[in-house]
Amino acid sequence: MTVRPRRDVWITGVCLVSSVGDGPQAHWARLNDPGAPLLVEQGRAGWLVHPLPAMDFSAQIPSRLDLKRMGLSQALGAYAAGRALDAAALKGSAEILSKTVVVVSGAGGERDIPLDESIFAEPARFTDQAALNEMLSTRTRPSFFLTQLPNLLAGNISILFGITGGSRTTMGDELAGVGAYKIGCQLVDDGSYDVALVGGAFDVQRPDLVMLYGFGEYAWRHAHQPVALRSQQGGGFMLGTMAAFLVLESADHARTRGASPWCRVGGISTHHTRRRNGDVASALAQAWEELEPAGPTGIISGATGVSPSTEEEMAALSALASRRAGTRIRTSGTLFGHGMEASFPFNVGIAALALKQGRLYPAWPGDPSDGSGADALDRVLVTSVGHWRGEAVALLSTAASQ
Amino acid sequence: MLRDRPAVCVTGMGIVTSLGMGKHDNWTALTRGRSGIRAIDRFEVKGLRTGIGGTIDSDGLGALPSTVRTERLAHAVLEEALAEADLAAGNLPAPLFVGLPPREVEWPQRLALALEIGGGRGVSWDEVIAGSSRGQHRELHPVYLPGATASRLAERFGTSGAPVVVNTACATGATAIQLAVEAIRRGETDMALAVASDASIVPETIIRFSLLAALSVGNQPPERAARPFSLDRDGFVLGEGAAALVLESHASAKARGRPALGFVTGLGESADRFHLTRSSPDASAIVAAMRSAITDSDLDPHDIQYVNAHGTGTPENDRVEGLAHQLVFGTNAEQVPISSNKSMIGHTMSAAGAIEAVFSLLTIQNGALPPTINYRIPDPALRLDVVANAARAAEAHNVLSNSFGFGGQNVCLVLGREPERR
Amino acid sequence: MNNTFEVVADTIAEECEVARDRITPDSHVVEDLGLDSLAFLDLCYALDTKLHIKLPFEQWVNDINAGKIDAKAHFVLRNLVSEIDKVIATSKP
Repeated sequence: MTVRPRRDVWITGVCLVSSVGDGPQAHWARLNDPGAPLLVEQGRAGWLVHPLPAMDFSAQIPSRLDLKRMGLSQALGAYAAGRALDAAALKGSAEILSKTVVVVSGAGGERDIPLDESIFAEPARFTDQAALNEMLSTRTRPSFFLTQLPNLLAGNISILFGITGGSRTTMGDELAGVGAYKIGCQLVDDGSYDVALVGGAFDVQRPDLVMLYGFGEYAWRHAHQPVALRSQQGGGFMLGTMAAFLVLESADHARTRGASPWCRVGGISTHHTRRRNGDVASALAQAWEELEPAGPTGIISGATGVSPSTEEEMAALSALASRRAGTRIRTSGTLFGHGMEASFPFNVGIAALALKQGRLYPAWPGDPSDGSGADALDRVLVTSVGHWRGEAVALLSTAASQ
Repeated sequence: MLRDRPAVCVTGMGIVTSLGMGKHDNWTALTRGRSGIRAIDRFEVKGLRTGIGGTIDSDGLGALPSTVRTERLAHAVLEEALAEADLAAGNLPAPLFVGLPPREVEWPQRLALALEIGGGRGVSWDEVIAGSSRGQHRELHPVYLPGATASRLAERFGTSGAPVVVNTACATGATAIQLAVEAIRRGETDMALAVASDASIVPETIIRFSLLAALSVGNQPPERAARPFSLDRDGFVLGEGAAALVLESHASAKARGRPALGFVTGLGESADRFHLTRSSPDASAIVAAMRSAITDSDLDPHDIQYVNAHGTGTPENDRVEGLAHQLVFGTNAEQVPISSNKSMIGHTMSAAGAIEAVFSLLTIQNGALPPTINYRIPDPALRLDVVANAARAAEAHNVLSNSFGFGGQNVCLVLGREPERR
Repeated sequence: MNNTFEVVADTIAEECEVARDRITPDSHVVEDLGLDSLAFLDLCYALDTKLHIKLPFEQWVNDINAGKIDAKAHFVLRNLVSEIDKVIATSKP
């Protein structure tokens, strides 16, 4: 299913936070430096991850009490949300923010690791439910539950920044990020809102999630390799801590307040195939046809590294690119890792960054080589092929393009 | 707000709660003032602050992990709704919007893994991860993956595009409906499915809410514990349930020859910035959501004939909701009856907004207002007509259904017998 | 004031990010020290852990909401400490 905006919707602010650092400038600089060494480290169970560097959230979350009540994902997300509002020059615009909607892609569910490990320390004892009840009742900090509710990142954002028009939270792995972005775009496009703040956050240290993906053996267990080159050794993703928030705004509203666009929002194509052989390729081909990218086009692929969907995606994108000269492919997972619920907003943020600069960054190891990336760029497609289900492609263009 | 938007009607509904399976059993019990709240017997409650809830244990559901149980209920209500709408599963030209609670592997399963991996000795998280990721538990990934229930429902019923999963805490069920209605209004689709399900009464849920002093812990018989709007109310009671709605443009329903069971004429929302778990004490955020829904339906407050309350029965929610009712309905406030389904089915959490929307539509269809039971000691500070203890025959053509979520996410729906006047 | 006061005051300072020298027996935890309902619950949890007791905070919250306890008086530290001492006394073996 493909939806296209009927009016001009712009992205007027972006913040990205990841292993690369904090903010669009740090990210653009790094993307243009493919030779520099990557920050990876051993995460849970010894698998490599793209970790977050030490960060100080106090510029956006001044109260240490508030910070204490959020887990890392919520703090990271709220930080990125605040910075995106700064980028769009909307922070403190009480009137506008009171009529803004926040749409968050959430994973929720922080763990109290010391408490969990106290229970894991005596597993047989705690199979007795009464003993477990007693333990959990007396050793759980009352406010900890709030770090476990997926919609409370949005709740914290409303409180911190005064966003009170509306609040929606999506769940569900990669498609959560797609859903949040799509809903945000549509709410601005149909006039329900002039401004939507859209984004998500993901934390690689979440043991419950790492365990969950581990059941399905989705993690990459070798030294770092570009995403497109992992299939020989069975494929897999390296998780990356990341957060991204985007300010989506009607062009009229932005012009009235003197804000300039990073890029313009185009169509979004979403699919849910059964992942038989060729399904991913068909979905991408269909999306390409329906979105009709024109002019010099970049593709930011959110390929996870998991097999066989990554190989199928790369082959499909290469085939589509070969039919249109000047189409260049980049895999964001190689540098940033896979951020599940946060990945799609993050990759849309990269696309917005490139369009704002008017050019794509150079090919990274594993990306089809295609020149320096200095050529001008009109359009970017952002893909999401989920590690298990869900396929999506979004089109973005420079604000000036037709 | 769109001016030329299509009217959106409901052509199929499905519901399951602790009162029973399906619309008939639920409506019968609801209007007879029956309670689904009982002593919990699916797990040991010793050490917990409360041992009651509106659990759904029939047909072996009580023994399942909550994630699986929640999915089964979602499945059941979608089947009922589609049957009523005369739609067959497969190739449905309708996107799917799913309201669900957050999910996790629960302690019994975690401990089983720990025992398997460590043989009884203490283990760390990282050992559990390393030990369970050798391919011997592949089947657990699609059970617990956050998007997997919606994926399975989308595949099973053949809905279009990618499903959307939402969670806005206690407003989740209403948000799922809101998204479906918006998709139809903007012309993205003629038909959409909204389903919300929550069957997560497990010890952790009870502990989490009781630590926040949110649950009723009074020494009452279970069926009397949920006392919305009463002076002696002391918190909510957990409940389980699910509801599904088939929504379509009125034109689409007519083309298919299906009767409109009711219309969703108004959507309203707001986000509170006061506090993570408490509403603005001046009710301003709630008032905004209620007024926004009424305005969106092209009605005035005096056109609303009944309010299906959020009505959790916590001292604070009912106070603030009561205040909002006064502010929105003004001098007319006591002429607009309000009642809380939660008095009978408990707080069904992520499903509540959808369950209560279905009850609101049944209210319109059947001309009866369900009661607020356990209303023995009125709270003099709340001057409300709460439809005390027994159902009341009344024609309600426009019903306002309130859902106010933890985290300040407020969603209100106006359900109507007729499409909005435009 | 007694040792319980010191423990409570130190805990408030650590848990709730309040300067220790602002905390006196006459401080009202909500109005003077700025604790909200969540901070109060977390404080009770921290005190339970430190003092090996179980404060009946759910009962307190409900009684306050029902008007059975005067919130104004209950949250003055001197009074709160005295309530905590009662619980300590009854929980001794």
